[in-house]
Amino acid sequence: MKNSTSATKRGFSLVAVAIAALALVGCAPATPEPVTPTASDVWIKAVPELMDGMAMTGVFMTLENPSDEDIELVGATNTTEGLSETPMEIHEVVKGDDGEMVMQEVEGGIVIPAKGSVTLKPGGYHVMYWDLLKPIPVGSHVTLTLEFSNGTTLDVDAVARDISTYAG
Amino acid sequence: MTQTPVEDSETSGVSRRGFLASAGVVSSYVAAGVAGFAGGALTVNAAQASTPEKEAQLRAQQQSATIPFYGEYQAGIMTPLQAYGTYAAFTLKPSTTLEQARSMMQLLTDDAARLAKGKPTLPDGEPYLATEPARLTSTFGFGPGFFSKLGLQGGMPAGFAELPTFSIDKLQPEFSGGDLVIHVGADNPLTVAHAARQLSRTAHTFAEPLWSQTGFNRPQYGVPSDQTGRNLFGQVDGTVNPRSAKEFDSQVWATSGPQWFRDGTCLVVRRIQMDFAGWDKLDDTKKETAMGRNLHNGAPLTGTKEFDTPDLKATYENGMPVIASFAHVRRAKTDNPAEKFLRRPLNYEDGLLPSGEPNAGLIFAAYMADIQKQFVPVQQRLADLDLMNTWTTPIGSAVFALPPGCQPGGYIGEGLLG
Amino acid sequence: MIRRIASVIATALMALFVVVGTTSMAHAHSDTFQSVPANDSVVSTPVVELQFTFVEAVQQEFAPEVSLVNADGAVAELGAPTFDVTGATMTVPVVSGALPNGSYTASYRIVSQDGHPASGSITFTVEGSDADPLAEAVPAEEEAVVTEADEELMVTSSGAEGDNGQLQLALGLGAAGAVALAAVLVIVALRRRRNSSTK
Repeated sequence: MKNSTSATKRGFSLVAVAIAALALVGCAPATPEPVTPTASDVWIKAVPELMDGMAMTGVFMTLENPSDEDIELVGATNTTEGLSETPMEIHEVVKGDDGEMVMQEVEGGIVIPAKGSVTLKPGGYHVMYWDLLKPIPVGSHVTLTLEFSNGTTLDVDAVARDISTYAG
Repeated sequence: MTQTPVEDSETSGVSRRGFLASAGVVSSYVAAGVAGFAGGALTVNAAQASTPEKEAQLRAQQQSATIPFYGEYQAGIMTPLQAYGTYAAFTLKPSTTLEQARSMMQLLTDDAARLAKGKPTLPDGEPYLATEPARLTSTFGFGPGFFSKLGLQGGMPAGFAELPTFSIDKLQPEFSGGDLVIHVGADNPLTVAHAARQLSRTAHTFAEPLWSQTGFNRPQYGVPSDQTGRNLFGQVDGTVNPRSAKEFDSQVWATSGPQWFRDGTCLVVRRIQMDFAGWDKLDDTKKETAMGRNLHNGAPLTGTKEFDTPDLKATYENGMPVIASFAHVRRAKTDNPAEKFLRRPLNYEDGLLPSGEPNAGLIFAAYMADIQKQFVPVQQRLADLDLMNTWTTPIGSAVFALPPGCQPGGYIGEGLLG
Repeated sequence: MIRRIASVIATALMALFVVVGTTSMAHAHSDTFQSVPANDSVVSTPVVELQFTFVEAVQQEFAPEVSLVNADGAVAELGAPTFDVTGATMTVPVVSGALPNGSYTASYRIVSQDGHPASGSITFTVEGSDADPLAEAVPAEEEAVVTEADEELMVTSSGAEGDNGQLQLALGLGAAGAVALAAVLVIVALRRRRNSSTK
């Protein structure tokens, strides 16, 4: 114990010297720049007509994290004019106590593993739009901004696709 | 003639005995050069693929092979014929606007580009079916109705119109017409079915499915690349075809007409029902007489190799023309270099007819720059006289104008739709 | 040579009547069973046309092909076939008129009611004809100036050497014909003299 305390004290003093040295030089502390994950294959489930109970939809994509640390997708903000005023949520779909599949907010956000990726797809993770104010036709585009746990943000463009059954 | 008298049995038909010519009468021609395109890069001599390891390697190679989607031309036209294919036609919904048609083509293009790489489409419910592209190509075309319904009549290419009625036609509405066609081809039938379904799902927002025809050829790997495939009558089918880039330039790709159509082409899809009961009554000699080519290797009766030019003037010693006046190859042959086109045939077999006969035949798909100039005269000659008409009946017919290819960021048909 | 061809043809004709497979006679094809001249016959009356009578009517929209060659391969030009009201008897005129002497192979290819192509041949020999010989078979590109050459041969009768056996044969026939004609003229003249002298 005695050793670690003195080692810690030594560590702190070293850092203090380093910071002081850097401050003298005029540089910021040497913490790494936060890395923004990349998004690909971004799409949104189309809503051709607004109907009761059908004024919400999900956005799907693949997120890649090139950094050495896990990053979480913690939020999203709509940037498409007049599409929705309600805050967006990050969702997962889990099996509830009664065996039914239920969607709910993800505590802590969706983890994008270090040097890895995660795919948001129907029946799984998605970014949720609530209370749509206008339809989203198939083939149209929607923009939103993704927010990550390391403070970075990313603007994405989602194309609207239909996933209804063939007879629809 | 390849056959010698002594090989024939007594009952093989009088015509062979009576008409066998001496070498002096029948002319033989040097086989026309055949480019390797016909079989594609994956074909290999049967002799080489002898071990299970090699076969497994070839199969894996074949299933992972891709054809680039983007380019000057749409893929699936010059692409060496695949083993499986589907032609699916759609009717534009009355509500579909020009802007929506644009959306439709953008989405279809995105789907096709992903599928070509062995990747699922964005809303793909069965991504695991996308992983073996097997030379998958998706090709798109517009029927006459596409132009008229969207107010684009001014963009119709010259010589692009519905075919005239031919006396031999017995067209069924369920295989005819269409405002939009999607042709999917691959060396894996699951790949074709999956791609066709995803593309159809995408189109379905904007257009109703009208008909779908699925067909097959022999597998491509392990087959010598200079041997043309056969149809269900056992005939070598597809001998006269453009094979070099130069021939494609002169026969297939549009080099004049509306700007949006340059490097595009036209497509004729006709469903040809075969009468197997009738065909089975013929012996080999009669089959060959009707065709003007032998069954053994598809050589014209006046030659020895498949690509020998038929000699329509050749006669037997007794003065009888070797190739009969009513033979298919005589009726189809033309001295007019303009009357040539590409054929990508598929055989179909869809269960049984009410009579119990196979519901089977040929999906005749032909590609040419100008339907009126290149295809109609040939079809007219065949409709007027061709003994093969005895056992074949066209039961479906449709025409489409196919745009050129596109680059990443663009979409098929952008020149027309803006 | 003629006998060998005849036996081959006869065998072939028999094969025509052998029904292929298990189809009944009702599905038999339009195979010839009668012709004029008859197969293997020798005719001394002028042959100006060929006639084939088939078992059943022929499909005329698949225009019948007929050819006629002599033993040397010379082709006799034939006119368009015509059919009687039953559609089963086909008559084909010889364009030049009566056939000259020689042995001939007449071949046909027709399409029967069920769409089957059927072909066959007959042979016959013509005698006692004074028609001009057929021209030798010439390549399609060359114009065949037939009658003039034959007339020349008839007049000059000796000395001219034929380029090939065909010409020599024509020459021979021509010479024989001239001799025969001369003999006939002499006989007629002698008879007249005798008749006139007795009166």
